Amino acid sequence: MKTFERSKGCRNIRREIEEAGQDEALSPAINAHMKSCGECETFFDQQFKLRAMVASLGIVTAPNDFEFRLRARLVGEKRGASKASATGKFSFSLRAAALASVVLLVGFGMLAIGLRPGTDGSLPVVAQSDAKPSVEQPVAPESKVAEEVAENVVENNGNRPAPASAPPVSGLNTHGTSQRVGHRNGSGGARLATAGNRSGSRDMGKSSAKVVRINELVASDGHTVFPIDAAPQSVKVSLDNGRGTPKTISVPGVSFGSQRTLSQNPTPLVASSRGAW
Amino acid sequence: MDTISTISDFTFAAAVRPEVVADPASDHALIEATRIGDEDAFAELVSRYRNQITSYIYRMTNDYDGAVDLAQETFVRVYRAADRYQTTYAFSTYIYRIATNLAISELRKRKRRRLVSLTGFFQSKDGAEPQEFNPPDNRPLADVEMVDAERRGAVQRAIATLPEKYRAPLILRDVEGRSYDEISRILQTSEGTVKSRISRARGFLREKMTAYL
Repeated sequence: MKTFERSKGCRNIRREIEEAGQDEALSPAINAHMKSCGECETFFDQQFKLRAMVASLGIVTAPNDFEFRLRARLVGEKRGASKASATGKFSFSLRAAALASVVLLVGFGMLAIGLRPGTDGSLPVVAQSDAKPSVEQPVAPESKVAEEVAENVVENNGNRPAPASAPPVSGLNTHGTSQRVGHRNGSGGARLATAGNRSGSRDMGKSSAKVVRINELVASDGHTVFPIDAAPQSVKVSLDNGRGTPKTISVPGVSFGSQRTLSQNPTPLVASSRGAW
Repeated sequence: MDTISTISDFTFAAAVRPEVVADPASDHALIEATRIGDEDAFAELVSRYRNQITSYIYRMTNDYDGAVDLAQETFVRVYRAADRYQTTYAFSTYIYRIATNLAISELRKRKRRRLVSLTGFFQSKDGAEPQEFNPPDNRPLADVEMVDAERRGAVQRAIATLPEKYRAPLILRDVEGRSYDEISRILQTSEGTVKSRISRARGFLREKMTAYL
C-alpha cells in the first residue's frame, strides 16, 4: 500500500517536473520528494539535461538573401497572376478572333466557290445546256465534223432532212424559231459568252455547227431569217475545190450586224460554196 | 457606455481592432498595413519572424535548404492571405500554424517518396512510424566543442526520427519555448494532448540519447 502511494506520488511528481518550464523553480514539495526518492531525482536530472540539450539547438538563422529571394518570389507570383489573368482575357479575345476568322474564311470560301466557273446557280443552266452536245457526244475529229457540216449544207440545199447522227440542234424547233428566246433576251448572248469565257476558252468550232436549213431561213416575205441563237457559234464550211483537196473555212460567230447583212443576202452560204467570198 | 461622436470614429472603430490602435508596431498593425499595400510593414514582419520560422521548419525537417524554401512559402502565404487574416489569435500563432502545416506536408511527401536518411530506417515496435537507426557514437572526443557539436547533431537526428505528431510540440516547447496554450492553438489540439505528446516525445528522446545523459 505504501509502495503504491509512493509510485502514485512519483508519477505526479514526474508529471509536474515534465510540465514545468526549463527555468521554472520547482515547488518545495517536489524538492522534498526528490531528496527522498532517488528514481525521481534521476528522472529530474535526465529531464533537465535532455531539455538543455534540445534547447541548445537554438535558433538557426535564415540566409542573408532571404528577403531578396522572398521579394523576387512575390514579384514572380504577382507577374504570374497578372499574366494568368491577362492570358485569360487574351484567350477570350483570341477565341473570339479565331471564331471571326473562321466565319470570314467560310464566307470567303463560299464566295469563291460561288464565283468559280461552272458553279454559279444561274449561269450553269445556260452554259451546261449550251455545252451539252460537246459533253454528251464524243467529239469528232475536226475534219470529220467539217465533212458532216458540208454534207448537211449540201443536203439542206437538196431539202433533205439532216442525218440522225447529227447533234441535236438546241434552240431550234421545227419551225426554226428559238426555244430559248425567253431566256436570251438582250444580253443573253453576252451572258453565254461570259460563261463560256469563264469555263476557259471554249472552242465553239470543235462542237458541231448548227444545221441551218435554207428553207427555214426564208421568211414568208422572201427575206432570210437567221436564228438569233446561232450567233455565238462559228460556222465551219468544208469546200472541195475539185482537186481532191478539201478546204475548211471557219466563219466567225455572227453578230447582230452580220445578221442584218445576211438577211439582205438570202443565200450567203450557198454563194460562198465555190470560194467566192 | 461608449458613444461614437463622429463618422471618423465610427469608421476607425469598425475597421481596426483596438489592439492595433494600442500598438502601431504590433504584428496585427503590421499585417493590417500589409493588407492595404504597405510593403515596408510586410518587410518588418518578415524580419521579425524569418529566423524563427526558418529554424522551426529546419528542426522539423532537418533540411536547411528545404526549410528556407518552406519559410519563404510561409511568408508568401501570409502575404497572400493578408486580406483574410483575423486578429483572433496572436500573429505568431498564425504564422507558426502555417509553418507547421507546410512542414508536416513536406514530411508526408518525403515519406511517400521514401526520402529517408541513408542510414536506414526501422519500423517501430507499434509498427506505425519508420524509425531511423541512430546508434549512439561512444568514441571519445578530444575537444569540448566537438563534443557539443556531436551532441547537438545527435539531438537533431533524434528529433528527426520522432513521429511528426510528437515532433512539432516538442520543438515548439523545448526549442522555441512556447507555452502549452500557444502550442495547443498552433497545433489546434487540446492542451492536455499537447502535454501528453510532449511527454511521449521526451520519452523517445531519452531512450535515444541515453549515452549523452
